[in-house]
Amino acid sequence: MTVADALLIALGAVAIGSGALVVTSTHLVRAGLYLVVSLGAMAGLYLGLGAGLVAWVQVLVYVGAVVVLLLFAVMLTRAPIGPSADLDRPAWPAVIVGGGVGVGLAVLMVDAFRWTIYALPAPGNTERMGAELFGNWVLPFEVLSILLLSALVGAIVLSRPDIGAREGAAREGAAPEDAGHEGSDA
Amino acid sequence: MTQAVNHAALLPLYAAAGTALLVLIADLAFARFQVLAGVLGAAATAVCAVAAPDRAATFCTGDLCSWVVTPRAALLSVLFAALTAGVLALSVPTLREGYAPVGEFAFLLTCSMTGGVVVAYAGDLITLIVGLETLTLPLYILVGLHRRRANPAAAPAAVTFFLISVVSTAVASLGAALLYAATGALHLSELTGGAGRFAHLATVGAALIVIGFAFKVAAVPLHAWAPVTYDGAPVPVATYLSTASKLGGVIALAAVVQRLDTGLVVAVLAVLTMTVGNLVALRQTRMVRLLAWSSVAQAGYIIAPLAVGAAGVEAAFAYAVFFVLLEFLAFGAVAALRGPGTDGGTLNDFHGAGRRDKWLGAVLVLAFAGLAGLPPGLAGLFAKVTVVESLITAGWGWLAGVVALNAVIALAYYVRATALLYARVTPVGIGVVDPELLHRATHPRVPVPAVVTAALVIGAVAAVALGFAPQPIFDILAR
Amino acid sequence: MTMNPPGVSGLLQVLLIAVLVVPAVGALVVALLPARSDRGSRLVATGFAAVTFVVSLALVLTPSQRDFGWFRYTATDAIPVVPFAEVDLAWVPRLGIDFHLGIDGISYPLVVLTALLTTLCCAYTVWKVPEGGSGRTLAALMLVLEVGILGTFLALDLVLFFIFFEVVLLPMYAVIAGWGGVRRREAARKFVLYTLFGSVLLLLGVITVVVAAGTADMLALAGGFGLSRTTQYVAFTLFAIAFAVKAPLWPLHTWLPDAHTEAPTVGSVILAGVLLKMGTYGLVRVGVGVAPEGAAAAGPVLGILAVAAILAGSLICLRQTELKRLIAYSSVGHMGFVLLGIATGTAAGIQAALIGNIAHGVITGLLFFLAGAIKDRGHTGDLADLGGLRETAPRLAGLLGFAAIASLGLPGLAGFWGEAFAVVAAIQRGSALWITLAVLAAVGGALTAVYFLRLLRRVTHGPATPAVTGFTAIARPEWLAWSPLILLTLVVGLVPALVLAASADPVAALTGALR
Repeated sequence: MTVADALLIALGAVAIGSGALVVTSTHLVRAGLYLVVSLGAMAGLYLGLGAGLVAWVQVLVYVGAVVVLLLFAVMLTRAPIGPSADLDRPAWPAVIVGGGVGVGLAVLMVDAFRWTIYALPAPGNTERMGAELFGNWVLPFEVLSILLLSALVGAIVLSRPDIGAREGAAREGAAPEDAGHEGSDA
Repeated sequence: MTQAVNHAALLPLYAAAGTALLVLIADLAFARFQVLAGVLGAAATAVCAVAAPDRAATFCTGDLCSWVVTPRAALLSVLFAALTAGVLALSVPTLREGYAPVGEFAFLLTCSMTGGVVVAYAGDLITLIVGLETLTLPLYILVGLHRRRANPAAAPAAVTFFLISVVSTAVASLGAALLYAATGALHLSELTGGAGRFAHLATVGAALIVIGFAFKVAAVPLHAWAPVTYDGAPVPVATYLSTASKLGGVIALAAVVQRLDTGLVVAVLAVLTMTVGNLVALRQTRMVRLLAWSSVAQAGYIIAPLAVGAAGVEAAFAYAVFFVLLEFLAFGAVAALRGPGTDGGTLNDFHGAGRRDKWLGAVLVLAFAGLAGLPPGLAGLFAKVTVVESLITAGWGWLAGVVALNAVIALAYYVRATALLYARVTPVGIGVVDPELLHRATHPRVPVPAVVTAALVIGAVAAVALGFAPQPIFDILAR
Repeated sequence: MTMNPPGVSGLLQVLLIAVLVVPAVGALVVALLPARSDRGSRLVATGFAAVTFVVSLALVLTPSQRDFGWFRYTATDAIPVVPFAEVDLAWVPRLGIDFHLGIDGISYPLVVLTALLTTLCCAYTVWKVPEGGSGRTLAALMLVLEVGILGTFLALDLVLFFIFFEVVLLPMYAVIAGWGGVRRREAARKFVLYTLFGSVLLLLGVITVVVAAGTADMLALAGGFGLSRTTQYVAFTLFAIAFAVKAPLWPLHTWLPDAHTEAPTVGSVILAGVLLKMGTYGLVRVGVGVAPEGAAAAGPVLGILAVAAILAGSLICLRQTELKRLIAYSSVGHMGFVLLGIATGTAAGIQAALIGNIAHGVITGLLFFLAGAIKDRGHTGDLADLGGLRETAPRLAGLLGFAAIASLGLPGLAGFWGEAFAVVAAIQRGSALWITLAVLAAVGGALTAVYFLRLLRRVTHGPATPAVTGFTAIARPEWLAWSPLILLTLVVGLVPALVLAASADPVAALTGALR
């Protein structure tokens, strides 16, 4: 057992433990903060396995952007900061299913890989990631940009009820005169 | 170091993405013509799909390519483009009412079309999953989009759809990861079952991928989101969900099932889906829920030949093509009969609707008959014959029997809905006024805009033409 | 798959296609005519139906240059089935479907009967539209039904046969549900669900045969085409159940009484006259023709069920109190005789079945017309309310008596041949089982006489009840509609060769494969 193995086991335990706390906590804000810990531990795992770029992206995107967004949403929607009774906790069926799936996957992995010793591949640094991405996976990368654009536009249009409302109101107001000119915006 | 790019092969993708951007620009620059831009762009995408050089492949590493052009992929892209244009046409009356911002609505729909085109041509699992997500993400938003809070069911519908969909993407990604860990392969042409110790891992990975994609197709027991979502969404969006989104899921499933041994899982899913879908549809009282459950059952007929493996893929696609056309007609007629901005309504809202509007009634009868597999919907009949034939040829006679029995169960509710369309008004108690006159006064005929009529006419002509001459579709799918 | 099967003249091919195209075009034209001219549209529909009838007669009467000594190659030594007019066009090669039509000695009487009954029903509709919808739509639906039924009788490709088999489902449902009696919705739903159940079994059987044999051509498949015994058994079972639902054969007959009782008059005439014949024709052409070993093995079972149908039909009829329902159950009994004839598997048996088909179509069609006339005038079909008809409407009573006696099988009228020769064919089979069945069938035939005479005693004789007073005289359109049927009953009874003339060769081909 090397230092790296021990580190991986420790970080894994932190990730799973704080993940469990996220779903069982009754405080919304605390759940968000436990999520930060869990995702940070994941970043540590990536670092331990040599994937530096992914680790930093994890911190930047997930911890930095996503969780902060979560906390902002909690703040702006005035969600309860204290313990809230209607944050439902996982019931026994969920625990059994989740636990069963976890145990099943673990057994599967152990059975497949056993005690094989793999030589670690070259570290997944930026240069290697770039080569892989732009050497082999250009198409999904570009298509993802369309996905992100649609997500962006969608998020904006969902959260701002005034977009388009002016046109609708104006059209409703002018409807009697405009009855003959229905084809204008098609 | 970088991949070679064959731009001619990528024409459909450029056209689709270009359409989305064109719509956005039209919205910004002119604040009009967004839907027109969308429809024209969809037509251009269809043309590019046909024009792309056959058997070209691009974004390859060695022999393994991420974008593969085949006649089947071209047909499916044309179908996605046609569906997008059709749904845009169907939503014009709703958009005119100020239901949603026109530009963003059209943009999201065309982004979805882009995702569909990517799924059709995908050559590896990552592109497939990304494309599938691009197909469905705009739909999360479209389901929940409403200006006036006229439909309180929209928000829960959108959230349900969103949650279940992302879980399914996560499951599919996990499956792909396990498969990669076991076999080291991600490209579709080199997917195999694992060897030796990795066999179990690969099998579980394949099963997880199938389950993840089965969510998209709304296969039982992963279907619970479909009725809620279809009912809460505006009818044009429900149309797109039940046709294009389902088609994307079917393409993804077919791609995986062709090369991995997943027969048992898919067969169980197919039987459950057909039977549960039909049995629950018998009890529905709302029209869109009836159509939603019926489309769940139809998904069962589509994935039944996939249980056979590569030999059944052609039959599954043939059924999917005919089904998508008929489903579009059904939802479209419902949207036109109900008018803009409304949801589908209960079955009783359609009482006598076929007498009020003869042509829409005829279109709806054509659609229901086709979905049931009876003339005059000959396209649907050929679809069922194809599925039964592929199952019996492959030796899965028992599954063919299940499909056949389910067709009988399904007819019960199709016939009930059709009969309602033409039901007479029964006079209750002492009649002072002619009951027909009263009914006509209280249920006025909703005027149907020209674009909607055009979309339905084109769809109906295509359905009837395919019913009499289905061979071209079979030819394209076989190559 | 030639466009021009050798020996068939172009005129015959045109007529063959015309007999399907004319009613289809007619239905379209009638549907598109404006709603104002309802009576005019019904006249147009009758015109199209009449043209179809003339075309069907021309098809039958035009001499065929076919050399009947020309033997088509088949995989077995069976005598080939050679239609005297044939059309063969490729349609959907992927599924093996060809647009293959043909007419021979077995199908031509049914084709002519269908065209005749449709014309009579459309003419009847011109005069009287049952309440529930526009007469124009009813006439258009009858034309669509005609296309489906004619297509079934003419199809020589298994999948094409299945497609035409399905065409009749929705229009018949619409006719019953739209213009029917009080409980029409349930009756129509029962009809359509039962029939689709039969249809899907037919599909499974057809595809099994097509996949096993590699072709769907009924002429090439005739005689078993070297299908393995297991395949033939499986296919025949599926076919038998499918056609048993349509024919109908006891115990799958429960849709029939409701459908007949609730359907409008013209609907009942078409249903009893020709729709049921699709089942028996299918059993002969597809069941016995394509899977003869299965047919030979299943003969005893079919025979037992057929005799059960005869007896059950008769016994139930004895307890009936409603006119149309009684006639409906009598159909079950008559179809039992037809199926007994098919089950024997002898040439005499199948010929008895063929003529029984036609006789039943003509006579029961006439019976339903008369029942419709009585119900319309008396506003009741209840036997308890009807009585003494010969005092108030002697001609109507006389016709009812004629039809009832024809139906019970009086020699000299059409019904005799089918029943008598089915029994004779059963006796000819010789074994103890068949002789028992023949005796039981004869007993059933006697019971038929009992209930029909009982019907006549109730309805025509005795004191006149209030319901039958004030019956208007028979109108001219009614005479026009009924007289061809009356005439045919007499003529077919005296000259059965009209129906059986060209059937000897095809029937020999079928039964030859059975040995």
